[in-house]
Amino acid sequence: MEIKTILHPKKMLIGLGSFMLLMSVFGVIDGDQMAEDMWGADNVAEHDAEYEQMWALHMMPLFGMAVVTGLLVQGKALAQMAMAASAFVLVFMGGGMMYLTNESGYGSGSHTLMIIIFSLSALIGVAGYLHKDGE
Amino acid sequence: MASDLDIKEALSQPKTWVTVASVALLLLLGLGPLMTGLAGGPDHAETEYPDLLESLDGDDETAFIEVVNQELFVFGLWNVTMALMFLAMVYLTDGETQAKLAMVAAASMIFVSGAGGYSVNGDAYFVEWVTLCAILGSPILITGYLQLNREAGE
Repeated sequence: MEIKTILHPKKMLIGLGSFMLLMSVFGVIDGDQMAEDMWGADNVAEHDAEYEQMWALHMMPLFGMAVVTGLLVQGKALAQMAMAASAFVLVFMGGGMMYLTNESGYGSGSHTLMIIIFSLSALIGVAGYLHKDGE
Repeated sequence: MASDLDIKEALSQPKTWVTVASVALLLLLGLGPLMTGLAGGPDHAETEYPDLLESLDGDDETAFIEVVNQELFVFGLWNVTMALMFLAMVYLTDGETQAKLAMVAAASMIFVSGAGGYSVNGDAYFVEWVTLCAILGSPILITGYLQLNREAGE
């Protein structure tokens, strides 16, 4: 199967957006587990679970917008949206998370998950680039 | 006369209102918290959690101030990301798709201000937070809906 068929911005935005939306729902439901994953089991303060729930709730519209974009937008605009979303997530979320990781160890308990998520975000950008002419 | 029509036309476009909302979001809730969090002083912790801060001392106080500033930084960063996504959603699309995406952007903003705002601060700032996002979101929803109908009628 051709790489262009596999890396399609529509499939990737809907797929990754739905997966992250589901993770956000779990984050809202079980903030304690999310706090343990992100801060490390021996480094969880009393209010950390509430912060994780709050952030999971804040992330939901962002992932919802990715899914809706995948469903509604087509052609060149979809490719451009995929590249823009990928850049925003990598620069702002990835960069910000890395800054926090260096400062306080946030996310140190789930390096693998972070790497997978940010790699998939980068692939959305690649998918957008491959379809930049709108085909 | 022509410029009156241009203004009227611009004000009836969801794109215009998404731009206004995004710039407001970027300045008020994006860059402000981001810069304050980055500066790292005790001001925000002292204002928002005076009792809690008073009960802490030494390393605990320093660690608490650090965490509060980090949360503020991430909050600003998140708002910058949202504002840029909103702008991309309306500047990279047009017609019916643009109207639908603008309405999704407004719904996201109102969802976050309602459910998110309540989860962050409880009753504190809830009315202010929801009012701001309703003021920014309502024209987007109205013009988006009107544009959808206009497209369907053409």
